[in-house]
Amino acid sequence: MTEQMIQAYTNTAAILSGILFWAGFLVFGFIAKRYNTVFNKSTFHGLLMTAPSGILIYSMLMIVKFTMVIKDPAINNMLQLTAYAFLLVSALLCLFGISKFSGLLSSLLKYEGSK
Amino acid sequence: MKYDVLLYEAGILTLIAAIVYMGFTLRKLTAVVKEKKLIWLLPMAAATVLAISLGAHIYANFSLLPELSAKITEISSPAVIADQAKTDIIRASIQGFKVSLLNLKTVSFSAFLLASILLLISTSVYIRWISK
Repeated sequence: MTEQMIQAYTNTAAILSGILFWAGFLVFGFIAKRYNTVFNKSTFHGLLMTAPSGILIYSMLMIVKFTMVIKDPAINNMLQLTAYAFLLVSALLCLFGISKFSGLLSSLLKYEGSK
Repeated sequence: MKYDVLLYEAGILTLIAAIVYMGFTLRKLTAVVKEKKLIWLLPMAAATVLAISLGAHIYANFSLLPELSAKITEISSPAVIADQAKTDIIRASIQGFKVSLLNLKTVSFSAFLLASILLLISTSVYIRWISK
């Protein structure tokens, strides 16, 4: 494989991974939504479904960076920095949402065990 | 200090923590639906693969890149420019570093892609169970 082909492959992998991570977390949000209906308790599904958006924005910014011919390296760096910031914030929100949902499940399982 | 690199690595580290937590949550969820399948291990595998990707990224940025910069500085020094044999050795070394960096980048992003696929499979399988 030539250097250009490897670059194209890694760029595609970075974008595709971001989209798949977003989809994976979104489906988890849908699972939480189902439990919200079943248990009639807040499962933080709204947070779980919106939190991964940052990962999608990360992918979009990376597409812009890789496909647009931006000559100014300062703009390129700013674009990359923004993408990484979105990734971090999104991951933090996902972690927070999952911990809340997990805490609720633990109390529900404990309640079921005590019955 | 490369702030963008640190920001990316902090993001991936947090993502790993979120995926591990998701794995434990999926374990509780499989207990709720009384399924005995081990799909919660898929997010754990995804987190492990992502940790490998992060390791490759850290090694490339904090070990290989500084060494490459040092070699580039060395090749442009007057003492090396005057010595053709030395120049050839350093040039070959720089080429070696470039190949290593490219290989690490490929490994890192392949692992990133594999982790995302594993995560999507685990949540998709679970939602299919509860949708029956």
